[in-house]
Amino acid sequence: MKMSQHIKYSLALCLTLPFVICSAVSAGSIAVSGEFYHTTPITLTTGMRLKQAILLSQPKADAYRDGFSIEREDQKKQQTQYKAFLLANLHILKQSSTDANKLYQALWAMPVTGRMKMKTDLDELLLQFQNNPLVKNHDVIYLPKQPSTVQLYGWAGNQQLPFHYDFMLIDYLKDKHYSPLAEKNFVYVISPNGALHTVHTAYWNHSNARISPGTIIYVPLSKSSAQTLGSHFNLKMAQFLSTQRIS
Amino acid sequence: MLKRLLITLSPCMLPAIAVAHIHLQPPIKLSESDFGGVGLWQLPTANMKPDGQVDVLVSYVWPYTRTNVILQPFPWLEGIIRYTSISNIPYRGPRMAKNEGDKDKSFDAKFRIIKEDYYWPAVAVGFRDFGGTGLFSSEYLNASKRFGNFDVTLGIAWGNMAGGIDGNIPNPLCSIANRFCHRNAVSKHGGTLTWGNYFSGSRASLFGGVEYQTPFSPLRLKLEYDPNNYQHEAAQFSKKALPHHSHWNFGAVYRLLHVFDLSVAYERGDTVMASLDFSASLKAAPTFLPKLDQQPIKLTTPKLPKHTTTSGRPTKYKVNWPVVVKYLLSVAGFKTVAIHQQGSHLIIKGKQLRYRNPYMAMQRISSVLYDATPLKYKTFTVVDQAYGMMFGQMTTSRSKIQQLDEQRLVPFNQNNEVHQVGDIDIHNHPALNHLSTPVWQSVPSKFNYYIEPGIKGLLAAPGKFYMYRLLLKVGGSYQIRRHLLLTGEFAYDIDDNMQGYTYNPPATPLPRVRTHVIEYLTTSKFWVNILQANYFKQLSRSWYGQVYGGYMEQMFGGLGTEVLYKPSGRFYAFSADVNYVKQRSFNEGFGFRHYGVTTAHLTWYYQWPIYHILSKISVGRYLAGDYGTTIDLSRQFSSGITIGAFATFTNVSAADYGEGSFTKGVYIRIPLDFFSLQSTTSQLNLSWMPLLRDGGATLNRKYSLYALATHEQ
Repeated sequence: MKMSQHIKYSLALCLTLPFVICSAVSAGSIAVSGEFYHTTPITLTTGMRLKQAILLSQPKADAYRDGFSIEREDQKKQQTQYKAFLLANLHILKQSSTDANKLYQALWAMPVTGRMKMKTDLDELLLQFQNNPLVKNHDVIYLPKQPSTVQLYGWAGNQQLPFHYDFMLIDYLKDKHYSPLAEKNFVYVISPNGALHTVHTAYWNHSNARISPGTIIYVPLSKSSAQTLGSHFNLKMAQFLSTQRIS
Repeated sequence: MLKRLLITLSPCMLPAIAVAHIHLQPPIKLSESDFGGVGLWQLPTANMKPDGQVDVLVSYVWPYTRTNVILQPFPWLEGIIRYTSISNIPYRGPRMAKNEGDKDKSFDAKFRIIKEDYYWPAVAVGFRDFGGTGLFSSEYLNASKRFGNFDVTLGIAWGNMAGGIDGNIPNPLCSIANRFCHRNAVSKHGGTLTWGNYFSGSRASLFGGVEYQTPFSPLRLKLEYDPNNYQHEAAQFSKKALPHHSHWNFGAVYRLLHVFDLSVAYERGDTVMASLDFSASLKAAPTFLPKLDQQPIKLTTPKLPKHTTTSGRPTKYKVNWPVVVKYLLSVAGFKTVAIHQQGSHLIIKGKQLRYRNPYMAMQRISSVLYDATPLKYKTFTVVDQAYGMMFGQMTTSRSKIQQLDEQRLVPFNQNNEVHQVGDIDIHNHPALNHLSTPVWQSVPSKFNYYIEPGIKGLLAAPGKFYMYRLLLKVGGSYQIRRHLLLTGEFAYDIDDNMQGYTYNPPATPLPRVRTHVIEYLTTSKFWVNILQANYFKQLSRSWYGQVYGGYMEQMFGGLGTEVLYKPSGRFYAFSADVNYVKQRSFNEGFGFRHYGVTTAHLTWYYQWPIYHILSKISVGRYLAGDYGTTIDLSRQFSSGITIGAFATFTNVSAADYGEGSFTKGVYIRIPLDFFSLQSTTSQLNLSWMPLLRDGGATLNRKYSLYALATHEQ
């Protein structure tokens, strides 16, 4: 009896002790995917920062560091709301516009990632001490391969365009058919790191802008057409597109 | 070792490795006309430079050498201050030098009426030389439209720009009202707004031109049709008309090092024009010097020493306040005067000496307090205190500081700039009214002194473009009691170019309160700049007061008092000051002249929520005994640079006032932080008045309560 009790306690201790020890040093884990040498989840320690997580995962030399993303669970709620808002508005337009319909389909298929913007590039982060954020449980870090395309969305078509190193932004838009609902004066440009810019593209104000592979160009609705939709439709669309991973 | 090397080199390498995800280049780089302001050669276009842009342009086209300062204080307004030297007219001023050309000061303003878009051109209305003697006085209405790499301008001009009575069309406004049919000659006194002349004259002129951006990015070409035939240019003073062979002016602009525009043009069919323009943005703080400030404390790596016993075991945490104070000074530039505790609330009183951005200062202070104080302190209030008066507070909490640390990632729907400093409350904390005995209090350093070189200049004085006086200043302050301060500054003239210069302004009935400036500047080699005592007192939560007496400024000394009402967290404030002053002797020693006056002002301050504009409106009595009002408008840009303009209108008539008709001027305050390796709150104050006159002159007081409260001084 004594022996069996001893075995029972020992068994219980053996089963529970590892968890007790683990929970004392770990506050969860972060997922790693894409072009890293080590894609196993990283065990989170108290006060762990992004730089440490990246160094543990070891980015591959040929990874596209401009497209690095960090995704956080608590951002997903608001991004889901944005997606719902955009789909609801596109649903109104899609009956009368094929571009709206295509954008609706594309948006429907886009995942809610939780991607956040970094204040510095990945290279800067690895060299600097500042702007090194804390990482949280369930964070995902992702590093893509270098893409060879530029993605066009909005009211001048929805398609992937081959990247040309000698192209200006307006060269990508040159032969595109603009819908009558489209804004003619500017487009939103989403850089691979998720940064959002407005760039002038009309005959009277165009800037000579060069873009990187993996850039998203969003041709917005004209101001007058967007008036009938919910507030800041174009900006919200561009912001949601900026949450997408480079693939 | 390699990692260490990389870290050491990292600041230098960053520009090289930072990948430009998008490279933007403006398609047409707007260039300046000969007169300054965005334009072609002699003529303006309707375009505007970006908000906050400043240009300094020097152009030469015989017989004119023009020095222009061009400001874009708002997106819709372009302002120009110009100083023109005219070599074919002898100097008309009080003291004629041999072979010296005439000098003319002028102001321009251009207002945007319509912003350019897909269908509409940019449309602007402008006034050239509207407030000076009017030698080049013109008005225009023009439109500019860009077509790819071409920018086309068409417009209509009146006055000098149109060629005066030789304009190429009849004045269309003449058919609307007779008053537009006649244009008066130039103003005798200058400085007045000649409303009756605007858009008037029997003739007007159409003008136009085009600017072309060549495929070679730095090079632009400009062509214009200039309707002016130069037969009436400054005709009142010069009997000879300027030679003129063509209405077409053309030339090229080359951009150098991103900030200089070199221009060469062929104008009037027989004259070469050359100009150099320097352009900078007041919105962007220059970053050519690295800052060697101590890094802010990282929240996860406490820097402060732990309190341990000889056995090495930590004792009960006891705050070492002197160490906290030391770190507040070295890391956050905050000179602590006293620390109070009220339960979980810590109140730190003192003065910020290094960081002019209050949020950056608070961020650094927070990082020290977060690390150096026990967890029982949940909130921190930092009180801005000067001469025993509390001017403002910022409160933050331990949890907000923690949030700030986590905000190094930006949510997808926010810009990078948002939430960089966390939400710091700015309010008058009620706990400040009932403070207990401080847990730490500084021993005030009673005596401060400095020895420094200085320069005092008069820009564009009559007959001499720049007069300077190189000084050695010895000054300091002695805090007699907590609220009582003695301030003094003595100066020695090392070198100057003023000796032998005499200036006799035209006689006016006003007492000469400012026009003796040359006598003050040349009588003595050693003088007392300031020697005064100030007693400061916070009268209640929002009321502040001071009483002062002594030698207050270069020309006046006496007694005075000021009260300020400035409620915390409000946009407005009021002040009132009364001074009895006597004119000082020319040698700026301890003597006085006979003239004495009581001067007093009521001032209303309002910090506008748009464009960060501060307006000050004063009414009262001025040094010459005249009564009137001063309007002062200034705008602070995000870089910290402030530009402003002021004008004073008193009951002195334009004839009694003399040239200029009323007092006006512009000023700029530049943070010295831009030029130093360590952060500093000091500023460089530069002001310019086209003419120094006796009407509308104010007393230059050393300490203004509003300036103390807002860190203007």
